[in-house]
Amino acid sequence: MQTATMLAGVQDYSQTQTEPGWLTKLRTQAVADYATLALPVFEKINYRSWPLLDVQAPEVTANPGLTEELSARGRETNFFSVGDTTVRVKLPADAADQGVILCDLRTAIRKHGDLVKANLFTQALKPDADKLTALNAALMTNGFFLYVPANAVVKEPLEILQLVDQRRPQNFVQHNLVVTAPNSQVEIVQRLGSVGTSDAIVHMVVEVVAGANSHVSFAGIDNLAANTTAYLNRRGNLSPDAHLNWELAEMNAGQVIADFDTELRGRGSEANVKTIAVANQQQTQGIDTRVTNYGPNSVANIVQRGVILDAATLIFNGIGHIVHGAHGSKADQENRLLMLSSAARGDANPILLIDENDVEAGHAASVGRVDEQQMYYLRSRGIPEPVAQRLVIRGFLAGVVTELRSPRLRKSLMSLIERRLADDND
Amino acid sequence: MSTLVIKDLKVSVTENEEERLILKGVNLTLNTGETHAIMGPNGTGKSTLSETIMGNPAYHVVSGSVTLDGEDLLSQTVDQRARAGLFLAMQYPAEIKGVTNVEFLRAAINARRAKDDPISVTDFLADLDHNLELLNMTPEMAERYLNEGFSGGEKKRNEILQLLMIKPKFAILDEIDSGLDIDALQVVAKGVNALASPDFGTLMITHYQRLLNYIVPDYVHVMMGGRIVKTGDADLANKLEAEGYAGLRDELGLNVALTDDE
Ligand SMILES: Nc1ncnc2c1ncn2[C@@H]1O[C@H](COP(=O)(O)OP(=O)(O)OP(=O)(O)O)[C@@H](O)[C@H]1O
Ligand SMILES: [Mg+2]
Repeated sequence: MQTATMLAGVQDYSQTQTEPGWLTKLRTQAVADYATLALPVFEKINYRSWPLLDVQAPEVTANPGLTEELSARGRETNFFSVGDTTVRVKLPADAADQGVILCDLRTAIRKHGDLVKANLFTQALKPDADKLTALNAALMTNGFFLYVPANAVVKEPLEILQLVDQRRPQNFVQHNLVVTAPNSQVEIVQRLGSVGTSDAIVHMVVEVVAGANSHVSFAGIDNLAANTTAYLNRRGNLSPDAHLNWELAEMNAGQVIADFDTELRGRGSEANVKTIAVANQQQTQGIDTRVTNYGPNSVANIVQRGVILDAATLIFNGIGHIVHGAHGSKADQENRLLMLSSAARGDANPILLIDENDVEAGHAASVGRVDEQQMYYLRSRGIPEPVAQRLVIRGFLAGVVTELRSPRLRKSLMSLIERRLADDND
Repeated sequence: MSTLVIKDLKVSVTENEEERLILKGVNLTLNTGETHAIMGPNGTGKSTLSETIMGNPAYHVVSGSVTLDGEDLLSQTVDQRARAGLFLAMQYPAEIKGVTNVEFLRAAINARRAKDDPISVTDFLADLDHNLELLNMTPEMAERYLNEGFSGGEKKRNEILQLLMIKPKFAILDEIDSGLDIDALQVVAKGVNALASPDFGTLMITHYQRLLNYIVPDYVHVMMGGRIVKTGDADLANKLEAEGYAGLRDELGLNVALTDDE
């Protein structure tokens, strides 16, 4: 898209949405940045030929065409959207009573402008970070907004379901924002999926701005259909003593690059990132997970496990960065891949960047095949090869999946994994 | 009654990219209702025989046959052989992290049942509890990952637990007594004896006559140099214990090198 066309489209959209001046300005600047910035680098993945940049200026979409079946998918959620249309928002009474805000980004911009302005693209992520981030700032349409006030403790996990409407070809450019004020506590489950099988280009950003001593669990289950090309970007920014647990499952069937980055800004802040991924067929999924320790005594743990079938490619780049001044901090990571076919391609790259002395850092990485001795043992008890293989894979992923907090989530993720492993022609 | 017949079995392994013949013509017939023991010096091919019967891909059949009730086993996959009724308690069982014992046992049992008729949870747990108790194993053992971090003795006990749960026609027990303390030996023997029936046959591989006090064999076979060189009753084991393999070799006039010959 030409810069001029893009600018006109963006300003037009911003006007139709009667967006505040600061946001129109942010978008206008992002269009300019987009034109000049470079694409982010993902080690060992060449995604230049992907159609990620073939997105149009946003339009206000028409009726989402809700069918009964589609509505049923969102029935038990706290937030449900199809494309840009928000279908359902329902906070538990206990959360609403404590002043928790959950709405879509469009509503938040109108009703909670100051909160959005103070946190959108200001802390966890800057709009000029790279070309793809600038694109998101320029073209984002909607998303969810969650605000948890100081001292609020949300007991039930909040479930978000966002579907890309692939019943026809789609651009999906969304931005989600989570702000947790000091001493608050919340669990979020975000599911990103598809309805339909048409081509789609997906740009999805999540920012989590975690206030001092707030505790946030964020489970992200991404299950986009084949024919999707996606850039997923989840960012965390932690104030002193904040805790953020990411539990991420990349169960997509299309092409994906994902950036999961967390900045441990505050003293004593802590992030645990657990990622599992299954790649099959011809797809490529490339996942960069970075945690940067800025604050003294901050703690970073990254554990990633991936399974590769068929002729798929799966890359884990784990980046642990301890910057100067982060005394007494820890950065640990483990990246493991299991390859189930000779045509599979996988890479697990741990990268440690340490600019301080009194710190602890460690990494482990492996790319392996199914252990023949284990297979023989299982089969010697009468278990057929495919079932035995499934058991070995499940064992491989177990370390991560079995640690998921919610039993319901564990179960649904396990069955999602089973489906992905059995997928012959997704 | 079922019959397992091994005929003139010759098996090689790959060593330094060359094939070496280990089994040089083994003949053996086992019927259910019988207990057999194989004894023999280290490296003579006892585990090779058991692994070959089970179908371990590291062992290459050069010639000969293995049949169960007349059906060829050698053309079957490992899991088919198991479902046909074979069970091998391995000398070195694998460890599998992330798969619990219970989950594994259930998969093994259901592999023998119709897809739409898995074993009921109550039946499974009742049998499991019964067998755990028989083997003096705690319920926690069943919840642990398969053999992961198990001591040598615990692994052996776990092999017998699987045997009891799966209830095969023929069990081959490869040095089930090694690494067991005296009490554990009796417990394991109790487990094996619990299966005794006209529909169950055992082939035990052991170095020690002591096991045979607890699981009394009908036949004792001596393997040397890749062949069964002598078959007798339980007394043969006592004789071996007293005289060693060299005595028997010389008595039979065999030309076999033993590792510990002076
Ligand atoms: N997988 C294998 N690869 C290479 N050589 C093997 C393999 N398995 C067995 N062998 C060799 O075959 C020979 C017979 O080994 P086997 O394990 O059958 O002996 P065994 O009679 O069971 O001995 P032990 O009493 O020590 O258990 C040995 O020389 C051994 O090194
Ligand atoms: Mg042996």
